[in-house]
Amino acid sequence: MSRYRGPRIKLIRRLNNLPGLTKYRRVDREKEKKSRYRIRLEEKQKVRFHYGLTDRQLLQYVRIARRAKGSTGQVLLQLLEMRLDNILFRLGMALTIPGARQLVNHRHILVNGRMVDIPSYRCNPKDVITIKDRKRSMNIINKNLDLSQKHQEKSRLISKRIINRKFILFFRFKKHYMKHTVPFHLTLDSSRYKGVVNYKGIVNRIIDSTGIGLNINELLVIEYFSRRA
Amino acid sequence: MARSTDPLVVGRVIGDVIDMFVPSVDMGVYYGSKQVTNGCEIKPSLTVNRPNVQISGRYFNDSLYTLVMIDPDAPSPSEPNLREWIHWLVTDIPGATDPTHGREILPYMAPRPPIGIHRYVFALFKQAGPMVMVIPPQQRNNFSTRAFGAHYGLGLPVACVYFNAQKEPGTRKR
Repeated sequence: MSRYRGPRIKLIRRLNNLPGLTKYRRVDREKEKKSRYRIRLEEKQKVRFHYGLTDRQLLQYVRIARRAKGSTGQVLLQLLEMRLDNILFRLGMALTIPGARQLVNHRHILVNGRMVDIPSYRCNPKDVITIKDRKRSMNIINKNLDLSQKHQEKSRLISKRIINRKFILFFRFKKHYMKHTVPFHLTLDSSRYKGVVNYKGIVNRIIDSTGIGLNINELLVIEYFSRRA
Repeated sequence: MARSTDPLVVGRVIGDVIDMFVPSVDMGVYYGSKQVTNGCEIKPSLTVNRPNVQISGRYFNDSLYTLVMIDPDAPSPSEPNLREWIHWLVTDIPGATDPTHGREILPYMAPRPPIGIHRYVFALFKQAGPMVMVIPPQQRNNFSTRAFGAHYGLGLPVACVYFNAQKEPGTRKR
């Protein structure tokens, strides 16, 4: 399956902040009248680019969600949130979902002790996600987990200096590393073995609607697909 | 954190339309041979004619019921600014019978969802006595089941069931 390899800032200029795709954030927003179709299309595109899916994959998820009992929109978001690449991103083992996707593809990740190289692998409650016992794999993930804390301080200093010099008008995007908080449906355990910190992610339960990290209206996505699903 | 498995809670019927209640009457709703179960999907083409509603329970002697059918997702689930759209209103239905024996206040209107997946809710209320001077709603939009129940002293529903429907794709000619 192909994935988006184009300019990311161009996307977030149109769709606003997509934390899964890039750490850059929008500062200004244009106000314009949008048609009903465009509102639904943009909401669908937000989901698609945040989770790194193709249109066909997303349509497939919508069809599965429609067959399930309960609120279709909530079921759709639960299905997307339980993807392996997204869970790695939410655990903080990768800085973006494309980064998490690469970790899975390059066989750095084990699920319940078995190597999984499918980013769309659907995790279940009680699944244990570990890193392959290899120095290179450990280094990549340890580096990612450390990065967010360091860069948060650095980002704050840069933006402060720019405000003092009154360049804020020209500064439209800034790289923004938030302090990573693991959502309540996941647990990140760390243990030290032979001087190396080993991280282990555990899926506690299926995510609730409150724990979803993206600010979207899932009903608009369902409405977009209601003619096709 | 225990999550409710009641389909009316999961489907947000309890909350959007009615308050939490204890079912005390069995209500079966059938479109032709298809029975309406909570959360099932029914095509709008099957709902053109009014459904067959069967009311059964333990205490029937002289009990009268009111049946309301509404759509809480009009015109679209993301912006339900016409919530609730009333499709059918029948009062004075005798126990162990069906709505044909009752007094139809508002005639049945078939579901025609314009966009998105709509919920269609059948709520059954038990009356204290015969309902006199029931004023038919002037318009079908912005009806409130809660307000209707409170105004006529119906209290909480005794039975409720809902189904989902969405616009059927037209035959595309190339």
